[in-house]
Amino acid sequence: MSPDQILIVDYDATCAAGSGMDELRAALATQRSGLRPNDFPGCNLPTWIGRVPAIDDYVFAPELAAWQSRNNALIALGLQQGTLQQSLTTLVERFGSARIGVVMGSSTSSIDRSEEAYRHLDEQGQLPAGFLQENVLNPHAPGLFVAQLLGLDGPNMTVNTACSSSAKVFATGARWLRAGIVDAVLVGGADTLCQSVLYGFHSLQLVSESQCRPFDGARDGINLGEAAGFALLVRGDDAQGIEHTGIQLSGYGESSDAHHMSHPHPEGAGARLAIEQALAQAGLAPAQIDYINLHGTASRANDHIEGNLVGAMFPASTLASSTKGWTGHTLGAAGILESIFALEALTSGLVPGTLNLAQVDPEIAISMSAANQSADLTHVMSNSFGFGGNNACLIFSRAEVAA
Amino acid sequence: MSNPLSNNAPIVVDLMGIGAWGPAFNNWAELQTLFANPSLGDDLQWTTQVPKPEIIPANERRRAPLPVRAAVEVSWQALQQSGLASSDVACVFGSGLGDTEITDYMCRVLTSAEKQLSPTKFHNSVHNAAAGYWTISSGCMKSANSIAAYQNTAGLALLEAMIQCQQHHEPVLVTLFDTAAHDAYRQIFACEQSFAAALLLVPAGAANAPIARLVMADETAASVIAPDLPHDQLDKLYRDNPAAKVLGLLQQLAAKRSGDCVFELSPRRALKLVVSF
Repeated sequence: MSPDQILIVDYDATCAAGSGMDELRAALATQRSGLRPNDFPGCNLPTWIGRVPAIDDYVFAPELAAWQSRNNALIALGLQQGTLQQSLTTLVERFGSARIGVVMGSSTSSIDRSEEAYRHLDEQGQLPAGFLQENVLNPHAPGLFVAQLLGLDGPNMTVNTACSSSAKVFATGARWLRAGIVDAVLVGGADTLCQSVLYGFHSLQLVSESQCRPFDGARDGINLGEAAGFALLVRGDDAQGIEHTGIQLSGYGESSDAHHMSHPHPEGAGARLAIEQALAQAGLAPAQIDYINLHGTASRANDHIEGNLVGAMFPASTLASSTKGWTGHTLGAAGILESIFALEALTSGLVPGTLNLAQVDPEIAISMSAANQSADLTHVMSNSFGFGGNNACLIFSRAEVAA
Repeated sequence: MSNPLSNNAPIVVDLMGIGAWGPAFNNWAELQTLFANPSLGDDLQWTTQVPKPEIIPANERRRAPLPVRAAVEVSWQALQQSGLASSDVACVFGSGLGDTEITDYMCRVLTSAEKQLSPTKFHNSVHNAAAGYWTISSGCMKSANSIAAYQNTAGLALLEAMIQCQQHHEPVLVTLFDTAAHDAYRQIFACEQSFAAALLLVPAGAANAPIARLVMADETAASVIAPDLPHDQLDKLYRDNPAAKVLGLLQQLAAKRSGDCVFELSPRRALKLVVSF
């Protein structure tokens, strides 16, 4: 295989709909949502959330006490799933830990821990000793904790571009591999529920009081969620003897709206650029994309703009859906979580519907269904758009048919 | 098994513009003067002046937090020096600490009974606020990244920008910025002085008369040595402010001194740049 080819060795994810791929596959197949009425501690906003209850049961080992945060607990849980660590061990034996890059994506990093710390300020306004966690209270906390847990010491950074963060990690991972500075990359994303995002999105009047209904005419906002997801990438010419998924990252696109900090470009001009770049890099025409996992947050603006853009760019034969009804909007983890849903669809042929959709908004010219479908897929796409007008689009393809 | 691409295609970029802002200097020319005449630093106050980047419309600028203003100001300086159009330039913003003043604000509000956050402060709290303001103000629709690698942020941002410049055959702006740790965060981060710098990179040979050429060399054996900066205040800035880890490279550029400049990427990896003029 070509050195330019970027192969996915393994992947896994944890979110409200399930911990690990086995649970997630079952949740997708049976359309079992992970959303629940808001019961997040310290937050009484009337909304639904995609909370991962297992985080509350996670206990940091004494030697990891200084790494404590909700976000790090979710990362640790996510890394325990499936065969991720076995796959990584094979790569470490082959290449050495310093030749394995880490690129995480997050929007909150561990701000949950800062919130907790500020609830414990003493009378002089000082933080108690247990919260003086420099490796946790900085925006690179996810990358640092992954390296600590897994003993990785290659180049390591965290992408913090809000809700496109962990889509962009695939682009960076591919570039690092093609540049030859690493031989494998662990890409991932993690964001946890916290008061900052719950009250923050509430302040922007973007939070729904009901279960989110992406692309429905009656949609009235987002549900927030939490997730961690990971994927291991290698160059195609290094894949001999390594068990892999048979799927490659065939294209990526990254762009900016140049429009507004928190409102998407009205015609989706930046999103269109990212999609066009990804198609051009993959050498594919829109009609060759079999399924698109849309950003589909269920906000009035995003779904209107994204739905009409995708409806105009792609033929009706391209299936499209939003999986936010299973998970909520997992912000900086959405890119990798939904890429993994797209990878799952490619592998299983089970295309998730758009949960909670009663009728597509008549002002959105796109067709989609609430029901799951079966289809033989070759190329799938995932869209992620974030604050600051930050857009990313990824295309994954069966490796054996790649050009 | 190593990648044939990496052996055949060393990563080489040309530098077309530099921006700088910090205590005692408001632009690259002033920092160059300070490098050349370090005794000037003894008479300076070593306090930053709040930048007013003209490229941000006045009503937006008022709402822009200090890290955004600093990052956009140095980006604008570097872009102007390069003579390039902002619409052609992708960008990589790097900040090791993020905006601790906004984080402090949010965490304090969330300890109150009402928990009423300002929507503007909330959207300004994202790490990519600087990238957002920059692309919006300059009309740039290219890829914009915002990365953090704590103390290694400068090296990772440069690595990312150089690789992107080479592989995508496009100019890339790399902007590093960190402001002084705010309030309770001063207990966690020693960073007392704010600093920002920007470098505008183009693919090697893409433009006439570059300021310098940067070649990414084999870095396995490289070790990071703190630069010998000509003033105590600059040493302190380099030590405590993650963005200021670029000061060694800036000093080398000011002196037009060819040779290596090394940035840490991880406990076992470094980025070695060979600088030539």
